[in-house]
Amino acid sequence: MTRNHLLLFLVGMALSIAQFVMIRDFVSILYGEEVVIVLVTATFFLGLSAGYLLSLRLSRRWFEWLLVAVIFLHLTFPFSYRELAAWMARAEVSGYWYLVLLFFYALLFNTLFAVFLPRLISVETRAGASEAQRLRVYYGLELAGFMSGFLVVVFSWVKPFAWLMVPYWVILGAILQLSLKRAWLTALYALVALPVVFNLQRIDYDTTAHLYRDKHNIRGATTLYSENSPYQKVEVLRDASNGLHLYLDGLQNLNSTNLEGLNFYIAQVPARLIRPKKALLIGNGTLSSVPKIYPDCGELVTVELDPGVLKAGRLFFTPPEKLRNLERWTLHVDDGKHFLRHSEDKFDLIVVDVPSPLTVQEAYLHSMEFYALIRDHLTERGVVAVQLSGPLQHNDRTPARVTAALRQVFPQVMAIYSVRADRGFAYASRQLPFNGHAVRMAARSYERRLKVIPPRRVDDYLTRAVPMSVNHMDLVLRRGWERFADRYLND
Amino acid sequence: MTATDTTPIDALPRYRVPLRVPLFATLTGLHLAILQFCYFFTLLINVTSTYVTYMTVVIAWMTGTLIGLWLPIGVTPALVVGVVAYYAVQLLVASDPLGGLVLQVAALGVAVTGLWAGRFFVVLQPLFQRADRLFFHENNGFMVGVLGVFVGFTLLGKPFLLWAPLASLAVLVLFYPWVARAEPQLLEEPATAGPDGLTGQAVADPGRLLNGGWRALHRFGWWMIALNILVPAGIFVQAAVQEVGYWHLFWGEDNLITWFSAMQLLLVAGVAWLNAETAAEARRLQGVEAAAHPWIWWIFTAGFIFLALDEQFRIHEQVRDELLKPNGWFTHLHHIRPGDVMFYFYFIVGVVLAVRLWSELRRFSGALALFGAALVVAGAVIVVDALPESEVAHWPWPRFWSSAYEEIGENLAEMFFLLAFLKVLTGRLKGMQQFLEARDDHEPA
Repeated sequence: MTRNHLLLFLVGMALSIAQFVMIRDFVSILYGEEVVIVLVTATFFLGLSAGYLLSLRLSRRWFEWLLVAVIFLHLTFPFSYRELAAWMARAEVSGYWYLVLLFFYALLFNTLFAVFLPRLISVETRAGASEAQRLRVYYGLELAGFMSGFLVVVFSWVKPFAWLMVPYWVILGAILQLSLKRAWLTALYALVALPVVFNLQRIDYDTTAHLYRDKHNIRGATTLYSENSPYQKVEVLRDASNGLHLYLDGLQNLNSTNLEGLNFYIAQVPARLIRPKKALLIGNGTLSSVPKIYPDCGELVTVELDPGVLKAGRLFFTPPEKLRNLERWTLHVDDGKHFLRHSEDKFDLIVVDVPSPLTVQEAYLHSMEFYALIRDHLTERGVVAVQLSGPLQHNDRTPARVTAALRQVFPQVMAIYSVRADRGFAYASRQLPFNGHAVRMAARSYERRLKVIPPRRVDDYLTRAVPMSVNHMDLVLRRGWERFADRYLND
Repeated sequence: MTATDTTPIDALPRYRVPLRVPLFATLTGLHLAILQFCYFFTLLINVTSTYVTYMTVVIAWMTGTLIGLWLPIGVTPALVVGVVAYYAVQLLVASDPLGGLVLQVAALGVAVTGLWAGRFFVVLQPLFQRADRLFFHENNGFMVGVLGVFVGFTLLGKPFLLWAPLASLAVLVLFYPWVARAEPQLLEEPATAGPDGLTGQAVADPGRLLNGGWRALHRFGWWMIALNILVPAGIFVQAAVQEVGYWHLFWGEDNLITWFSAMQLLLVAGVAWLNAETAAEARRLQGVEAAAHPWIWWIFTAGFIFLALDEQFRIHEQVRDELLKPNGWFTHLHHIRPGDVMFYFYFIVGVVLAVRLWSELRRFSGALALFGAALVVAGAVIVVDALPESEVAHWPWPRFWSSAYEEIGENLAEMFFLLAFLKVLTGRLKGMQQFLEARDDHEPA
């Protein structure tokens, strides 16, 4: 293996890790709707295109200068762009500037790495292998490197940030040395990298806190937890009044104030009313509902997809002592639909405690197809409880779309809206074992202003709502775009 | 990387690649993105959305691509077998989503589909001759595909997953025979070649460009004049039809005329860039009247790009509101709104730089007059735009001056700049054409 072979392999690795870091961090900065995920991903490819465009147009000298500059600038990732985003939020600049920031960093992240492959294929010493042969070997090596980088990413999941960034910076150092063969420069790079590496955790947490303080307006935010799971960036923040906030890809999933209301209506109220022999919690990664409904359940099963959310939940929202000695409770780390498809169990209560449908994956968990799967796993009078994000109204917004999907599958759907929890919920069944009065009575200790829409009146609200289904996920695009445009395009 | 010690692009032979070849590469990128993401969504909704699905698709795809780089498979078979594998996986997950080996079999299908992602580069490389363009065009298609699959799937759902790969396959299979006939045409040897130093890159197709190009540019100028009349006129008509005050359609920055202005500024930058290229080329030809300061065109190119960005992203307003006004800088000037000095600054910088452009402009008939008209109109717009509203309020039709005048005036000034730069460009192209024709006449047969 020649130096160039090794170089391209490492460039492939760097590109793979850069793709992950950039997409995760910028999705988190810009807030993680699917629209943002797709935009950031496309921007990554735009950076690659820029690299291919420049690859043969850069003289050796310019290439070397840019390589040195970009690799040293990498030592400021991800802190520099977080601080810039926080500063922009403080300065209340136009939303367009965040997009400029994204495009600028896309160029820094990967453009120069994309320069290597065409340069080596097209202009390497002409003696020896043909250009086609070089293309096969070099592109193959870059792909192999990309796959290896992917493994580095996988090993870094649900671990501190250093597990990802330190190998990345080491790879960049190796690329610097192999490209320029200047030991003093590589040594300088290592010297600059060392203090960053040793302070990585602190800088990571501090810059995350700055971002949340300034961009999300969390007063006195401090970072308690920040890790990349296989699915999203999971962050836990504490505010000035000691309230806890769980953020997934930069979107607030819950905070300690509304967690209480969410758990109460989505799990405690139906569990109290049904007293299920067997209940299933889908989602609820914080596990905060488990100790609350455990006394009312014969057997309780939790299925949560994301080990990162589970870890954050156990560390900050549901201390392990609360989960001790719950012999009738089992936890599965799995996808809800995959679990149900492979399970033959029937449940008296299924609680779907998942985020609002802002990504395709989340939207599927609010679709007719998923509710039909749930129906097949409910007993005759079994109930599914879901959260609707907001109050059910006569429109085609999320609560109406989700309720319409439920209504396609279940004969009886009841919708409620809690003013105190500031959330809407729905209970659906072939035959609901409780009525609106029973729900009000069960909720009386929590609030008296609960709004209940009984099953016979629910259809009146759904005349304009297309049921959410695999073939009708336009809401993900529409709502995601609305939120994105509101945030960044409409001043 | 010893071979990169020279400027790579100058060390390579110049080829003209027929447009259909890069188009095919872009369409292939689109096709590959459609297949890869359709696989992903298919498995996500039918099997599982755990990270194993994502890993399976990515790793299997890349393995297929690696194999495809070395496997001597024909183009149509590679394309067809990839899509057949996709539909086989569709069938499998529809009929037996719970099967224990679904993901493993799906991985095999993904790898088979990925073969073309590798084979494609080997097949197209001889047509492109240069790897940078090959990767560039394929990657652009892939990027568009990422966006397209997301929009297509969220709007259409399963029908998109069923039909999109077939549609993109059909386009590629029908298109490929036409691409296969394309031959890259060697234009010139590397930069050192050629008795007059004329490189193939700079004048890719001299006959076509010089004989017909300047006339096309002339027509383009007339089109821009027409547009500058039609766009504001259209806005006045729209206001009359909708029965709203015309000034509403000019106020704010998110309107048609602002967008038009930004686009026009980009066009001015584009023509300035073409002037930079032709000025450099004229120097090499040594016989055509060359520019005294060719670099000035690069500065004007950058300047007009900046002005376009400013127009679209309101940079000068932000500097005014977030820097100048809060700090009390330039907030107490007579006849100028607090902090509204950025355009004065741009104007002064532009005039100073224009001195260097003087010799260029006066060489081509009408260019200097048009440039002067642009400066006069721009200056008048800047003065009126920066006036405090209290002063304009006393004028007749105050809303016209505070809304429409600024936008229309800006566009007019941009148009004059564009026409002045076009005069230089067409004039120099004519000169180059005459020079080349005269040289050909004197060359021995």
